[in-house]
Parts: sequence; structure tokens; C-alpha cells
Amino acid sequence: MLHESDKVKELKITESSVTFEDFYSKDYFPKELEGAIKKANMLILPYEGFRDFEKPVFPEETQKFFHFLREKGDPSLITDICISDEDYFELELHADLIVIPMMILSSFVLPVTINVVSDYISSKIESRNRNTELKVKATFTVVNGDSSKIFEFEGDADKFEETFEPVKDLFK
Amino acid sequence: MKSVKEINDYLLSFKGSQLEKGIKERLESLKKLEVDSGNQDNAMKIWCVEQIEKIIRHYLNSYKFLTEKDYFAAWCELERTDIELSFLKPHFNYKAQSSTLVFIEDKIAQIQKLFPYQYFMSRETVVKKSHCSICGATFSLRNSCGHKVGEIYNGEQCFSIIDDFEFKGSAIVKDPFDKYAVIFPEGMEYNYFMLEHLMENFKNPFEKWTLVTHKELLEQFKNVGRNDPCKCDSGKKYKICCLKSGESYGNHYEIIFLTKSPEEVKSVPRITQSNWKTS
Repeated sequence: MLHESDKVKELKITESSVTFEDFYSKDYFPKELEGAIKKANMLILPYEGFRDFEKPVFPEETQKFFHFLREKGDPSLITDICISDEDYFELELHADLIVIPMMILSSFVLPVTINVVSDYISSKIESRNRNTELKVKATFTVVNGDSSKIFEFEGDADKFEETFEPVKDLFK
Repeated sequence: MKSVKEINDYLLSFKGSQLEKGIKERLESLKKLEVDSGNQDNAMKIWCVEQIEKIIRHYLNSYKFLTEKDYFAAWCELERTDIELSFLKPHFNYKAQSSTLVFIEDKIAQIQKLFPYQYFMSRETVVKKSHCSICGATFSLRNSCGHKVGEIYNGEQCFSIIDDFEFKGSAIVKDPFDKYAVIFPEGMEYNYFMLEHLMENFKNPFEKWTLVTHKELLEQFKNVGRNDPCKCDSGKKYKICCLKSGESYGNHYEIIFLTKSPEEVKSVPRITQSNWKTS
């Protein structure tokens, strides 16, 4: 996971075959929450294999981000997080880089996801004093039928929304 | 000063060098009365006034350390001022109400630019368990106590208190979230010449000055042709190395005092110096 970034506005789009089912079979998938998690059309995912830590981890403030999505997200967005409460661990890097947690989502909720993530980033920019550019890293896997695309953004926080604006119409 | 309003007005327009004594204690007792009577709105307003007092106090401490040439202590106080200001920001629109806080916000950024610190340690910690500072409940993803970190309850800001964590490593970075962990390499000494020159003229904490930054070609890159070997010894041509990356340009800082006549300012000749002292 990154500590800092010097990118201004970089968006990489990769073709993929990853779907929600791939995560339902992970060791960390909480079987006791299977019913609720499988209803989600937007699922927050952990990072695996951070140094020698035996469990998967989530970036700093994932819990805050998760609650923000549930409170401020569009009603069509059904959000959950792919971990049990007991196995939830946050990795603090003490960095001035906002790492948006990795997500997998259905293509039809992509526009509302971009909106709510943009709102979250805006709230971060507003609460900040420093004049230096605030950087963001975000990775979305967008599932459309049997295939998917992975969007990886790295750059200035205030460039996130304008970069993703054209992406909203990609699956229409 | 007796009422919250009097203290608030005093702080919002404060331009002195030392705060009146007893403000902190007075606010604490006033806040307790509001909390005891269940008045959350008033308790929160007093929390904001307490924050303003903290911000000014830390800024004044920083100024004092600068005058004493205790630069690292001054740096830490500036960081603290910045953090306290960020706590206040979501709850109080100081930009519309206090020229004092706007001044301090500007000065934190400007003074920090004059420090030679460039690299910091950044820790990697896995947080395993934490609890709410308001009610003591363990933070949970799906069964939250309802208190939100950063919000104000009973006149206190909610924090996440870490109970269990694992330290996994550290990194050297240029821009961590807060910059307390300055690197002091053994056998090397920082050169504080810009601060030394600033303090020759900066004679009270609220004196008006501004910092203008110019990007200028560094001395070693002057007279280097685009196709010449780069001066950084990369083996590449200058045009595809430091010229392209911008590394051949450095910041030239100009400090302008806004309320002093030119005769009153002890001017400094144009100089270029390293961030490190040489023996």
C-alpha cells in the first residue's frame, strides 16, 4: 500500500474476469453474514498479504468510509464490507494520501458510487488546512455480466470527480 | 472575563503576545454547567471557544520557540496548531468570523516552508482494537455505538482510542499526515538560515508579512545545454532528465513585511544556501 504519490491525474482501466463470486469463496469471507453480503451491489474488499500480517487489512478510516456510504449513498446502493467485525483490521500508514478502500460493484451502481465517493473526497478536502495538493488512490472493480473492468485512479483529490465523470456512461 | 461571549470576542480578535490567564479554567467550569443541565448546543459552543484558545496558545508557543531559536520545538507547536485548527474547522466557520485564526492558518503554512525539514518517518501500524472516547464502547463495523469520531458530545470531541495494535514497519516520506517525526541524521545539522533571517524582522506574533515563492533555475544548471549530460550524473541528457522532471528548478523565497517601511526592515542579500550546515 502506498504512503504517498506524485501523480496528478492517472486513470488505468484493465479488462478483467473477476466477479463477486470470486470473493464469496475467500477464506476471510464471513459465512455467518453470507445472506446480507450477497445482497450487496457494492462490496468493500480488504488487501491481502500486507508484510507478515496473517490477516487481510483495510486502509485507514475504512470504517468511517463504510458508514459514510451507508448514510449518504443513493438508496439503490447496497453497501457491505467483506469481513466479519472480529476480523476487521485497519492499516494506518500515517500518510497524507487518502486510500479509498478497494471495491467491487455492479455496473448499474457505478454512477451513484462515483457520486458518493466524490462527496467523501470533497469532505476530506474541506476539512484540510494545508495548501499542498491532497492525493487520492482508488481502485474499483466494475462487474458487467460475466466480465469486469478494473479502474485504478491515482492523483489529486480535486481531479477525482472530473476524471470519473466520463466513466459514468461507460456501461449504458 | 466572565461570560463565554466575552471570552469568545476576546479570542477571535486577539492580536497580542500573551493570553490572559485563567481562560482555560473558566471555560471548563462554564462548560460543566451546560453539560450538567443537558444543554448540548451551548456545551459545543464552549468546546469551539476552548479550541480557539488552544490554537492561539500553540501558535504563541511556536513564536516564542522561534525567538529562542529552538526550531524543532517551534515546528512541533506549529504542527499542533495545525491539528487543533483541523479539529475546529468542521464545527466553526472561522474564515468569516476571525481574522486572527485566518492569520494563524496562513502563517502555519508560510513559516513551515522556511524550515529545512524535508523527510519524515511514517509508521505502519495495524490497529486491532479501539474504543470510543465518549462512551467507552469498542468500535465495531456493524454494531457502532453511534458516536462519530470528530463530532462533539457533552462538549468533548470524540476520538478513537487504540487498545491493541501491531507495529509493522516504517517508511521515509516527504508528506506524512502530521510531521512530528522529523529525521535528524547522525552527524548532520540542519541549516535554519531562512528562519534566522525571518526572526530578525518578525518582532511580534501577529505582525503582517507574506511569503512569495519564485521558481528559479538552480546555480549548477545554469549554462547547461539541453543536449548536454545532466549535472545530476544520471548519464542522461539534461533535456530528458532534470529539465523534464523539474529538478533543475528550486524555490526562491521572498519575505515581505507589509506594515514596515523599507528603512525598518533589516534586509538580506539574495543568497542560496543548503538545507544542511557544512563543517
